[in-house]
Amino acid sequence: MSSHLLFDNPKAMECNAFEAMETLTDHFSIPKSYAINTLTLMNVSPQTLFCYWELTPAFFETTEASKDTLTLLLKTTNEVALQKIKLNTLIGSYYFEEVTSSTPFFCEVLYYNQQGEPISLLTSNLIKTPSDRINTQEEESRIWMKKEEGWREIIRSSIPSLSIQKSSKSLVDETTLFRKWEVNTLSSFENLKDKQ
Amino acid sequence: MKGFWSLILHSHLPFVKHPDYDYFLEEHWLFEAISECYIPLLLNLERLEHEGFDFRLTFSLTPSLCEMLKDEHLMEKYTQHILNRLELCDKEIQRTKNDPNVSKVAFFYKVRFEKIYDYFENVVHRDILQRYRMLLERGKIDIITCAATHGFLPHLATNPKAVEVQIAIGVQSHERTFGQKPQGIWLPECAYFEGLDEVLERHEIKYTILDSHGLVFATPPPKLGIFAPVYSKNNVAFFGRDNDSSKQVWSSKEGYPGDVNYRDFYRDIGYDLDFEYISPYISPDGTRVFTGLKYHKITGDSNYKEVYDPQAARGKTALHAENFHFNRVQQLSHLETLMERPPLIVSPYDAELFGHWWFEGPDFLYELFKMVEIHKEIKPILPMEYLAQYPKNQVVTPNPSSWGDKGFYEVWLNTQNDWIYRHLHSMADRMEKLAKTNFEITDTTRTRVLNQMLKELLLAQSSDWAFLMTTGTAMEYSVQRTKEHISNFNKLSSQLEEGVKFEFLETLETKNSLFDFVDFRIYA
Repeated sequence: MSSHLLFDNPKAMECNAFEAMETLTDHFSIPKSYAINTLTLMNVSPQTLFCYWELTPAFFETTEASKDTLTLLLKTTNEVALQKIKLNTLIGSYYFEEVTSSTPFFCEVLYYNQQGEPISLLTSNLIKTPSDRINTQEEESRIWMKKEEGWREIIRSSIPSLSIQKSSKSLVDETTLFRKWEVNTLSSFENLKDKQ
Repeated sequence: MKGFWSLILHSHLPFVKHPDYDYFLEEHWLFEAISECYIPLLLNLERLEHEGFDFRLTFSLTPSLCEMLKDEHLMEKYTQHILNRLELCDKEIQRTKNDPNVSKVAFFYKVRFEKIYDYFENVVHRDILQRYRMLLERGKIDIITCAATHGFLPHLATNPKAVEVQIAIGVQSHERTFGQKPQGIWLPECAYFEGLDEVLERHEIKYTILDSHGLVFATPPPKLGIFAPVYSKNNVAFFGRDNDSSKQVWSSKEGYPGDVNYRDFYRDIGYDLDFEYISPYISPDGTRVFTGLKYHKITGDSNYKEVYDPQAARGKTALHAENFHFNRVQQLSHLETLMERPPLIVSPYDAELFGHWWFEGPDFLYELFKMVEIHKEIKPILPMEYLAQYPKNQVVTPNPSSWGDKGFYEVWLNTQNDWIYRHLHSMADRMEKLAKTNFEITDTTRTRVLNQMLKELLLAQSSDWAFLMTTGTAMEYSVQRTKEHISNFNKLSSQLEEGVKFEFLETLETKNSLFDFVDFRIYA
């Protein structure tokens, strides 16, 4: 479910899960809501997050918000809003697609007042997406990777048939690219060192 | 010796018990696993021991599986199930007497079920777990625990208590079943999230297993890849799953189980034979089910199937064991040139693959351990034995991951099953509040209600329901089980305020009867 689809079809936001449940034979009744204000963000994959929310009518009525001004924002810790979704329901769920791996995120339900200022109603928990690649950020690792020629082969042997939305070939390509990157980066470091 | 090999078999089934029915389809998951997997595996290991072959492997036996294997009601039903199968075998020997090839297979099943019945009733006296305990005491195997009801921990982590209690009860249950603390844990679905190692350390867990990208994408990347364990900052060792050895056994197309000589999983007389004839051996409502009597081998890709030949299939297991051994030796020979210490290959599998899906799998393992000992090029090792020998390992932050499709969490969180989480999270939050506010109570009835609420919560958290919703198998059952436990939890919660309905409480205590030792205060 992408944000594009939701803008085209706002009704898709309305608790699709509960509707799905009701198509099955029901032997046990479960509540549609718990009368709590909550916004929960969960990891699905390095590129996808899921959130669900519930705003109680009692709480909603104490605000100046109207259903057509409710908005869901996905943010990183630097408060930059990366995705902005219009909501039309007090209870619902949403998948944020195409997010960045290894990045902390939280989301917020808010509305805009008459002056156009955002008023926050709910803030989610903070989560970090998993990594989907070999981590090359650590200074320490650069040093021993350069020293250990066998390491690349060990890593290649560790992941030849790993199926994480990638073919083995693309993983090998990635390792090759990484090798080029490493050679370039390390040589530029060394050039810098020589110049100093 | 080229290096080490550590085999890990994860044995798990969700807690399924329906005492109000004489026959319940989903209880047969357990019965089939006992007959086709657990007992054949134990028989093969005991045979190895009897013949003087050494072996080492690790079993994860999940708390929910152990609870079922200890449950008198289920074990009585299992006995009746085997007697029913023996009766069917007798009828089949008569029915097939004019077809020598098929009759030979019918006789094979008769002998096999007799052996299983004798082992269950007369050797282990309906206590299969005692044989695992025996092998554990002899140092041949390690047994590791799992989260209490196989809860998918990353998706429960919005309430840290939910994760803590899954682990705590998993550890308590293991201690009660096996008489010692577990040193390792199988994380349900190998699912890891950052910070879980802190919980594991608090419960004195020394090691666990992740899929390869849990290690390879760690920060910093592991110097020895997945061929040596790493430690997290909280002193938990993480072993990485080897993809090559997994694929050779897992893959139904490229792997050994797809060999044309092996038994075809899908062709079963429960579906093939005349309804009147087979009806006493299938579901009483007339639904055709597997009986375990399958007369055909895989043969090829078409619907044409030849008659199964158990002896020929057995011969293939020896060949495949030789091939697996050869490939590991090649793999280790290559790796040892790159590493400063002997490489370690970790091969984790679902135990039920061996015997249930791959009927000849337990025989393959028997042949493999024999081959390993004869050639002495690979040393089978338990994870704790490895850590004792190589206590110094790189410290990294493992990457959140799972062994599910695509390697992360989507199997357990997608549009088929995402509706469950608001309920599971709300239940955990309310359980925590109730545990705190009722911590000092002495009232027996209230305590019983709160303990049962905890059991309903744990059962609702089982990752199996979300998994089955995704795969579409047993979809209705998994939805109903989730809704049943949510509903039971909510009703019990209401009864705390409005008065307890004892008949309801007693029904739940009998049906959802796992973990008789639990105390709701663990959630405080």
